[in-house]
Amino acid sequence: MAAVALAVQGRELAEVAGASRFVVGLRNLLRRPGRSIMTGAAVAISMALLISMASISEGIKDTARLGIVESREDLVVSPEQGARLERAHAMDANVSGWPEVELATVAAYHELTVETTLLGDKGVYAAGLVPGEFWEMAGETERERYKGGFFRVPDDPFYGNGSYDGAFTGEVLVSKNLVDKYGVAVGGELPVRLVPGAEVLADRMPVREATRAGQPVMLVNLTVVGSFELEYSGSGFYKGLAIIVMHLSELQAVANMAAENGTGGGPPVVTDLANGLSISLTDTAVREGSVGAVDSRLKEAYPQYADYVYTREEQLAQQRDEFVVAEVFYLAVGSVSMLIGLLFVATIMIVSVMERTREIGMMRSIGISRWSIFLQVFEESMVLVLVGALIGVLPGYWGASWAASYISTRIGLTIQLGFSTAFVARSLLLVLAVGALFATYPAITAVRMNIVKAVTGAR
Amino acid sequence: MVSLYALSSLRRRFGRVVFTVLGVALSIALTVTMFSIGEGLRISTSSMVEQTQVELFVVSNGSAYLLGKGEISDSSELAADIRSDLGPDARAVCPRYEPDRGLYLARANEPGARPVSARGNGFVPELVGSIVGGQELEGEHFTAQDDPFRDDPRFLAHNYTPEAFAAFTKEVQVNRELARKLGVGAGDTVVVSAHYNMSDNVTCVVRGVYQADFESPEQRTFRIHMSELQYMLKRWDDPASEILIDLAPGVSTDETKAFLSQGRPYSPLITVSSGRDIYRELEGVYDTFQGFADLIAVITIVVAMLFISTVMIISVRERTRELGVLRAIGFSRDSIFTIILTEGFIIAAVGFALGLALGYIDAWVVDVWIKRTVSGIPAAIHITHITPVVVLEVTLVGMLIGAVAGLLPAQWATRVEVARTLRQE
Repeated sequence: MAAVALAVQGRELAEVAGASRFVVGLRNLLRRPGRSIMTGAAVAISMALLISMASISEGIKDTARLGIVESREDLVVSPEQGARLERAHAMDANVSGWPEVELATVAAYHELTVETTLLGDKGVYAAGLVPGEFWEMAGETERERYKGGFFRVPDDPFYGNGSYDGAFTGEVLVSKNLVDKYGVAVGGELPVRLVPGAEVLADRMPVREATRAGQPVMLVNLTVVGSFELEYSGSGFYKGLAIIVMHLSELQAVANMAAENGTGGGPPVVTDLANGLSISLTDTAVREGSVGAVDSRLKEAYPQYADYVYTREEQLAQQRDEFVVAEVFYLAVGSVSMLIGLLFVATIMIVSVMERTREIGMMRSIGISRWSIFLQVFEESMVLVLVGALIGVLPGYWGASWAASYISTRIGLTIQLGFSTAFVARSLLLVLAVGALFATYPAITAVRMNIVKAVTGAR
Repeated sequence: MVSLYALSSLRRRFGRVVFTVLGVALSIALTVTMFSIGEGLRISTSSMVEQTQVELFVVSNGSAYLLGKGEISDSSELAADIRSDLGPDARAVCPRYEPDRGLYLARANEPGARPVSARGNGFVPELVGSIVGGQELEGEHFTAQDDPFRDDPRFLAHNYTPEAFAAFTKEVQVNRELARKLGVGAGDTVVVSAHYNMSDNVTCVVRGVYQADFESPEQRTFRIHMSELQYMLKRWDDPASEILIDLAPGVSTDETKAFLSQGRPYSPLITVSSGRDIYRELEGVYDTFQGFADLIAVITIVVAMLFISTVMIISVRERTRELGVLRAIGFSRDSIFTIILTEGFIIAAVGFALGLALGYIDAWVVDVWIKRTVSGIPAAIHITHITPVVVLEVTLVGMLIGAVAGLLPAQWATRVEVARTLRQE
């Protein structure tokens, strides 16, 4: 009986090719459902792990990359190691005047303490920027963040003609967690403390004095004009992280970055400190490849910042370096798991080939070519890989979503998943490609069998 | 006899055995690495905090210790109040000022030398006491143990003039990276200024080179007498980033923390954290990561178990006749059970040994590679650490794999019916 079935199957194989051989392979797999299910399950689990790992790493990378790609920043000057831009407004004005430069804008950062109605004093990160210029420079995604209101005064009037004595707008944007948890109201007031040392300009700001815990403090009332979402979900490690955004020179004045005491008790000396300068070049300049020229000119004009000038490509490369660890780590974990799954497939197929020694010998003896047998075994392995991999896609997605929400609750960092059809297709292709390598070994084992020995059962 | 038979039957199926061993080894290696990551971060962080000898960290009110701190004004006065309140309970109460804004240093007597930015770390040597923040690599401590400029009339009168620099102790210590960047060592002189153009500068002697535990290898810092740093930055309010407290042996950290946080005149101005509190801020992150890593390990182990048990079951089934013959010539069920169990055990054991070795290499590579690639990791942090606990956990996993690999198929093998098996041919 078995021999007849074999002969029928052999003829089928000899006569048909392609899709039908696939069906024969499938039937072979179904003849041994137990092991096929186990193997498929293992491949599915491996695939699920690979997909969740990869989609998390892709997601983290894409979110960060988007900010740089979308923004109009062609060059940034961003001092590190405690260095600051000194006389930043003057630098901005100078660079803005260069013919290749379309727009340049300065930003500053400092920690501040605000007083909230619900939970008292709160340490926040404050960013200072020139709203109109910032808006011009920002990409779509960044702008989207501020749909909950933005500054009404687009420029930076308080800077005046360089002595920080213009109109103080007091406008401030707050991160949403300040509204939700600390009772800060959009449209309401937010008192902010002057950083020690900032009292040097106190007479130019709407400062009021107060007593807190028996100590005199100086406060400036800011007006909340909008709120924005953070990528930090407000729990875990980042639960206390809150951000406010102010006009550049107002932040500088409040944070002791605008001026310092003069020598010998003289009048205040303007320092105008900031943390970064973003530069957007004209389309013509970019087309003509002038980025390098402006980069050199910047380094020449401002040698103190020469180590801290970055082009868009350098920013992307730097970011790639930062994410390469996460990426390689996730991919390595995913790949090892995938390797185990594929080793499993190869082993099971070797076993199947060995078990079918006589069957394969018979097929060879009725004239089926080595190539057909190779293809049959190869395709059988690939069916296992493909079916397992396809089954693993959905659990992979669930796994990734679960991991993202786990990270979001535990650490407080919101992660976008890099999960798309193209991504799934890429992962499937990768698994199939590596799977093909593994499938070759059992197929070769089948082909290299000695017909006589196989049929007679001789060892 | 039994194990010889098991070995020879494994040799007969060499190809699949090698593949299975590889599968088990890969999963064990991944498990070792995953388990070692959490351990490494946890152990090195807590030992870093412990080694400083600091039990309590005082920062300005409303600050989370790790997510940026504000500054404490009148820090010397506050430190003195704390010292007198704690009496002999405190071995050291040490204010430390590390402003965000850096200063510039350049090699002295070299007109063209490019200034290098670095963050200053102001402190009073005699107040440091038993507190340790890293290691001295070269040179010596400051010669002036106190902070003499603090009593200078110009400092007291908030009167800034570069002539006052003459009254400085004129000594600094630089960290390894700053020493490398400047090309200086102990005994050399450097010029320090708050500005890149080196206006208002003071020439100082480099007393020594250090490497602080909390700093990453690429961070540039220098230590200087606190009032001198404050004066150069024109800060009259005696700011400090934190006040570090080393308690005497046997004094309760939690009780002291409660004592300082409640009811003292300065309590509303400060937030007091213990080393454990700071560690706890990080622990959530570590735990999350560990949970994640554990899950990955478990999934991989499940796949490995599926793998090895399927292969073993197949091996047993294709030997139904062989096993029947063995039974017929007098092998007991127990012997058959032991043979199959041994086979599974050998595969699991070889895979385990190979995997453990791979895991050690892998964990080492991960540690070196991550520290080299990611900037900002403190020098004292180890990403991975293979502790006895990790080895024990992985051994348990290996035994579990071995058991699954051996027990099920062995159980199945003992159920082979001699008569029916032999009749079939």
